[in-house]
Amino acid sequence: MRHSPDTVPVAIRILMLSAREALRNRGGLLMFFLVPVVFLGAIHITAGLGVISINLYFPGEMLRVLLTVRNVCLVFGAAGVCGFLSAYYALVMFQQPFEYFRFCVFEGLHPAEYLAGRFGMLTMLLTVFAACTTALTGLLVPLTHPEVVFSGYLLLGIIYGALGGIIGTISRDFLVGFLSVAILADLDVAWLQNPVYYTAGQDLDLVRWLPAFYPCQLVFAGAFTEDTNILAVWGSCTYAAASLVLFLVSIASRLWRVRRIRTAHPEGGES
Amino acid sequence: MLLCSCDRLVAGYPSREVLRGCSLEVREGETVGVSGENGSGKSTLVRCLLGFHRPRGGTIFIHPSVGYCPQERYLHTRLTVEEHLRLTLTIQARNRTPDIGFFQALVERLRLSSSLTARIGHLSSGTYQKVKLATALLHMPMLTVLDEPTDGFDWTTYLAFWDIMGELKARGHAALIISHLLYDRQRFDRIYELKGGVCETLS
Repeated sequence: MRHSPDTVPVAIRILMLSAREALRNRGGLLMFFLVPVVFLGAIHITAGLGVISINLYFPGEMLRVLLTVRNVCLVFGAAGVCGFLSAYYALVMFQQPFEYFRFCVFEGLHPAEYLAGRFGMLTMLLTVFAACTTALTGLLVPLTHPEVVFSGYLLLGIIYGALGGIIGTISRDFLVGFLSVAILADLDVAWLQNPVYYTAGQDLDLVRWLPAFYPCQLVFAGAFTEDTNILAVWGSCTYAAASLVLFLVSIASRLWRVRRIRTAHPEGGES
Repeated sequence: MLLCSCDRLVAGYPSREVLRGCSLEVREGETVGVSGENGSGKSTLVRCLLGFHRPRGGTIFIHPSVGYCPQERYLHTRLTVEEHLRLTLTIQARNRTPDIGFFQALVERLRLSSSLTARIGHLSSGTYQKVKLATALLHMPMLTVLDEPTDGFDWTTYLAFWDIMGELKARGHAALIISHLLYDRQRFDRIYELKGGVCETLS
């Protein structure tokens, strides 16, 4: 062991440690490779070729697009996989290790360095998940605008990543957290938004308020139409921003008291 | 110089009040013990002093140069011992230049050299405890707060622990040691017993 402090900035050091941590998470790696292949493979094999209409809400108008059940299920399945993986990795990154990094903040780590390192890694992971999901979907479904589909999956990943992170910071029990992210992603993306499984969902206002609605609209518009759905872009960005703000608030609420000791006057201490 | 004190501290949880007007102080060069039965509020007291738990009343003073070895298992299970110690050393190096000699000696005396590449999740409970202790001590804080620090130690490590604490004490550093069983009472300058939510001085 080199008995000296690192010369690289602490935020970069945390980013590097987070990358090692992700590679050492064998369960996570297994899920990263298995979940998309198993889910999309099962859908591809079992879903029928009957036709169903999907409602796409553009600004000021609603389009009905006719698609095969298989294509609809594949795109929603891929969105569910992307949302679940994003939420799971955020949960893993911000649940058990949170107490450790809280101690690092106590020892003098600046919360901004912690956030930069952890969010840097999470952003990379979300980008990889969105890219892989788009690539895998593209192999099974002809996509009109893969880059828009990628953006939709990435925004969905950000929203569900933030939700997974919030669950991670407020819940100590891994099993509770894991089940929460799995059920959330499954209920919202794979069931309520998908008209193959919940036909009435398309016409319910409540379903349109759920976090996966706008990203899924963006994905479908990009995958099957020539138009860009500005409403879905703004809706997704608003949900992503709101989720990130809530995530940051949940982190700050657990760090601020610990941080106060370190910001006290060196001679006077904390009173 | 006063390094840590609390006065009429009141704290607890929604279901019950644990501390009901607890007062104590730790000065430069002192080794102070806090004992008490299980559930008497020792760990709550420490968490209040260090800002991890919000008290309902009373005043707290604590020097910012403080190291903490908690009772809980908080280390990151997917990182190695070396990664932990290096990150802590790097964070601390910004506040004060680290004493590399002390750091090396600490790793040797706690016999951590052979475990540096091991992941935290694979450590025995004794070695895990050593890593927690090393993390708290490696930057030589003015005040070290240790909650059940010798749990899981073998006899040699137990003696090494007291040697290290003795050296720090000789340099003017203070320690607040919390344990439900305090052996070797002659090593302490003062012992408080936490009973009924208040601290009573034993010696």
